[in-house]
Amino acid sequence: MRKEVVVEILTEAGYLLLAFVLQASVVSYFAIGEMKADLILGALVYVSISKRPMHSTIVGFLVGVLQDMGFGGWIGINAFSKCLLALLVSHASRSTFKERYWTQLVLLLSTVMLHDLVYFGFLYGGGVSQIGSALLKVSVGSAVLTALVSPAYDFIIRRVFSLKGPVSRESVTLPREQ
Amino acid sequence: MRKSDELPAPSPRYGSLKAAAVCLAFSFLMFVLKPDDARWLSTPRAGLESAVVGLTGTIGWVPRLIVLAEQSRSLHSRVATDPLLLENLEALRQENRRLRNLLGLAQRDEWNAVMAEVVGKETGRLGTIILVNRGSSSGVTEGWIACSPEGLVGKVSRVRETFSQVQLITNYNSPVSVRVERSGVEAVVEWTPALPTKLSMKFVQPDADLKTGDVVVSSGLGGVYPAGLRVGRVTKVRVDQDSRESVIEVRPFVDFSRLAVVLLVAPEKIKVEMLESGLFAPDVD
Repeated sequence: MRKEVVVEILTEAGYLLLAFVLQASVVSYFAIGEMKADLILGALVYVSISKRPMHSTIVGFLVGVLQDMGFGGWIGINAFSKCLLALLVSHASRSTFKERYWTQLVLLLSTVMLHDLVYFGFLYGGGVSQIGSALLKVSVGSAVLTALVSPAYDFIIRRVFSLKGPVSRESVTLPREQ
Repeated sequence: MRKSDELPAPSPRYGSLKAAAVCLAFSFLMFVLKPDDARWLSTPRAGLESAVVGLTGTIGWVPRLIVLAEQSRSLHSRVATDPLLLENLEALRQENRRLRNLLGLAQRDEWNAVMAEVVGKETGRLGTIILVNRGSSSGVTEGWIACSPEGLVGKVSRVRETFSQVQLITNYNSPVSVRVERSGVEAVVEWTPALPTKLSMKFVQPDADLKTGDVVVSSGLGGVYPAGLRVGRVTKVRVDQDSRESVIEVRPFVDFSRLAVVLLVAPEKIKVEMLESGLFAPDVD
């Protein structure tokens, strides 16, 4: 395997692992009621919009397994929802202008809502009113917080560790006028 | 023409869909596994949990310090009044001991407690599990109770050598038998999907003496939690018109998102003996 590929994989693993550790240790202290930012999901969105769908799917699955295994809850629930979301985000981001901040915000908001729909769907066994209640009481606020915090996390980590951006503005080329 | 030239190149889209199908199927299988079938996962889980505790314990000291500093400031103002309160409590404890002697009642156990720092919190959306930095090497075993100055936090659900996992009372699997302090009404509080951010009070008669603002404490009847620990406050009381059942919401006193330190308390001897005898199988605590 080439050195650059190894470095890229390690960098991505470090980026996601740091989000995981911060989520488990710091983020909950800044929760507003039951609403708290989901840094892991935010970081996964940034990885998914910059990578191919297959790569994103596998990363989403591994991050979910890590989350499930680390805290003794139901195994599989996070793996399933993160894997599915990573695939969707990666596909969706190929046909959107993802370099724009507002596009990223919309992607983050909708990802958290979709993730929670799947997550609570599993947790509540499909009870529609219960899922709706949880989405309203927990997910909406968490989605907003995630959409605000995740770009900051991404920006800071990439600045501090001098990493390449998730979406390179230089790579955007406009079609040549006919 | 070579064969490879005739075949269309494999679409990366289908590749990702195949990978997703495998990952999703595997996740679903893990989800439907019964706990007995998932025993093979206990070793990698233990390793991963140790790593998580190590990392979060190291990185999380900053917010813990901030929370502890805040608590220290608020407790500082109570220092002047607490000695008087403690003296009063000690006098009451002695009086209680004498009265129990006179009545021929068995003495209550002294608390065997250990302070523990919260070194990790579940990363899932509801976050109902925490990790604390005391384990079997400190004498902690499964079934110990976790509480804070505000009230009941949960119970120890898994123990490793240097850390333990505490299941909060907001976990789907942590019902608590309770008593309303003002009226003495007994019930059970537990987390339900309909109230994801609060606890729901169950087994209450529609005409029970309950009102908004009532303080709810543990009744000690469930077999795990000792009596008298503050659990929460009643925030809503209504009767469902269709089922004629009482719908009562309880907001826990403890702010679980800002927990930095907990007190781990050994269960009372009598409760351990009751459980070990097999004559009492608690369906609540």
